[in-house]
Amino acid sequence: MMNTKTKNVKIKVFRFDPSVDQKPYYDEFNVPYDKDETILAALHYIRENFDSSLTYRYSCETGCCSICSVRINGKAGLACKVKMLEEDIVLEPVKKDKVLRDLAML
Amino acid sequence: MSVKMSYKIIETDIVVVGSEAAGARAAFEAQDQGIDVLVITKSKMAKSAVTLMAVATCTAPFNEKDSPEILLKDTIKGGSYINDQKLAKIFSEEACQAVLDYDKYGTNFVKKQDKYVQFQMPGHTYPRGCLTEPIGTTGRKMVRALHHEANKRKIKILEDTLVFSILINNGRAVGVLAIDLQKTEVLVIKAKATILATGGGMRVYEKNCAAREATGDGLAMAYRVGVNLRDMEFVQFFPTVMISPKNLFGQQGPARLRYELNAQLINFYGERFMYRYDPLRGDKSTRDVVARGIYTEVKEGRGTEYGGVYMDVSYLPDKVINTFIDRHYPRFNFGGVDLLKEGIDIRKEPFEVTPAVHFFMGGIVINEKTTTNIEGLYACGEVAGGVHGANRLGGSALPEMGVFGKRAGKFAAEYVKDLKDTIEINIKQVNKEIERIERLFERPEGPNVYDILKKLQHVMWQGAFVIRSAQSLNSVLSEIECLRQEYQNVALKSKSKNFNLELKTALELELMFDVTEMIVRAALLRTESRGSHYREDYPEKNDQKWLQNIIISRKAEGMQLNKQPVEFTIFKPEEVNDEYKNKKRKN
Repeated sequence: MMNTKTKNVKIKVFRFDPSVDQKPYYDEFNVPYDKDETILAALHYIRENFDSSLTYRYSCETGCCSICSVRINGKAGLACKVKMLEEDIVLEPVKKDKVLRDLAML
Repeated sequence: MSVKMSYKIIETDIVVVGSEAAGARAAFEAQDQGIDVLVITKSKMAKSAVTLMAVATCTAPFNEKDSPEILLKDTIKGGSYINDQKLAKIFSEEACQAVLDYDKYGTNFVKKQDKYVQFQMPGHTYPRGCLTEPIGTTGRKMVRALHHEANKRKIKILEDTLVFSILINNGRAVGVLAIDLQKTEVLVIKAKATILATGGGMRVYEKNCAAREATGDGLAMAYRVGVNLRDMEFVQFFPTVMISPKNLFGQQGPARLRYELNAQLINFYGERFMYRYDPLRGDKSTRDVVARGIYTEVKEGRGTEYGGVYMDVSYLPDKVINTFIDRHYPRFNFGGVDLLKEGIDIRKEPFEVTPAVHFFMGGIVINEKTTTNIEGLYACGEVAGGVHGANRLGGSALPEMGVFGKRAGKFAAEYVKDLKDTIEINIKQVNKEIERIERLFERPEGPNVYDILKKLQHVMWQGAFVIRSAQSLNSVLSEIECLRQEYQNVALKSKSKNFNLELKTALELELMFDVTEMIVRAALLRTESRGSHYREDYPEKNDQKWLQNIIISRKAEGMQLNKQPVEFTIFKPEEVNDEYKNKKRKN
């Protein structure tokens, strides 16, 4: 449940589908800021509300499996553990040369 | 535009669907017998699914005073007497070996002077829970060990490959149909024996503490080809998991404060509501009553921001809390959950909790050899039912995977060795299934798959969770039907063949409809309350009428549910019950 009373945060997401795109690009989404929500929740929000083709890996959502690793403003972390930031956020795959699609790596 | 997908045929002796505890264990055993085995997982081994989420313990009766027989009795009592006693007996007798095997692969359970350190979990007569250090890592250590072992053995594993159908020919299972998600390539896996180790379907509910993969694929795939399932109405929940902050969702450790430090449960209006549900024990009531209490508060609009209630110890003097914390959870670390670091100071503020879905007791009907009613098809682990009856004891999941995974590998291998004739694939069935996928790609626009999934999870949470009634269940049934209709028009936004996760979710969702329908229909039929199943219109346990299992099967006319009396092959309910009464008296 996203709290819609608060302000929006601009999230720039790395996009790349090697079967279609010549090179990677970034999409921007406005996601309601919530200090208690995680980066993963923001990704779910984008997928449900803006773009269901956004591709990222996740599994346990409790910090056990580490499959949701992603680069958040340049720093690698677990999307399910790192909380949303109040500033602009850039999300990228941890290793760009291993991208399967968008944030999901091989 | 017509897509016309081609397919690739892969041949193997045994295909194991699912790569974690049960699946890996089955694969090792089959390989030990010299049989060619292929493991398939829809995500990545040791980095997904529910085994790695096991934070607690792995049950085994190692204690000198303990015995398999006592574990069996505890398991049957915990399961409210409707367990398959033959399976429960095997589970109890082989649990120690399962732990030894896990340890042999490198799990590294904690030992003190050559003996396993064991925790006492509720419902167990003796301490039986083996665990790893640091506390809370049992599942993680296990899957790493299993993964390491699989690599060492050079087990063939197909990752990012979703199995969505069991192939049947002449009434026999002849493999599975899968899709390589990285390339959207259909794989016809031709196998002499098929082992399902796909786990439970907790993700059909909105609030669950299971991994994304727990969509119950194996349950529905089996149902679709005529496999019998049992006890599907029994879905286990945790009464209190953390719900906020979101990065701690699903954590159970801090919720121990309820009985360890007299934490109070408080609703949005500041009321100590539990006294409405249990005037005597209040916040310290049993976990089913607490779950129903919280659920009712939230449903009736008295819940907190994130749909739970507050758990609070801040009313206690700091000194009391500090002394308790120093003794039991130094530095406020609740088995890996570092509350202070997460910004929660329980001396000053409460945190939010909710009940959440945790485990499926029900599943595929198997015998002692893990055989189903379809020749060539085996099932082990959470996807199979019977061991735990109407409720599972804490720590009893991990040994079940080891015990029955091993058996599945062994007996499937024996079956393959004895098989004289060759197997053939029914191409008609393959083409029909491929058409389903093509339709998803061809449809230009339609409802979003994530939207329908979310609605289904919500409906199940609202009407088929901890409190059920004929009314709520009937309304869930009609909602499932509506969503099924809506699903017929679902479209993928991206038609890319490159790692299309919308396609994955769409194929899973189609199976989830069958899983939900089985749960709801069985829950409707069981007009009593037992174990994890609570009917507000039938709040009492009814042993006269309901020492029965509900068996589900698919017939031409639709889903069939039949009642089948429990076979008390080892203990009668009275025998177990009397013993516990005597024990209580002695204490």
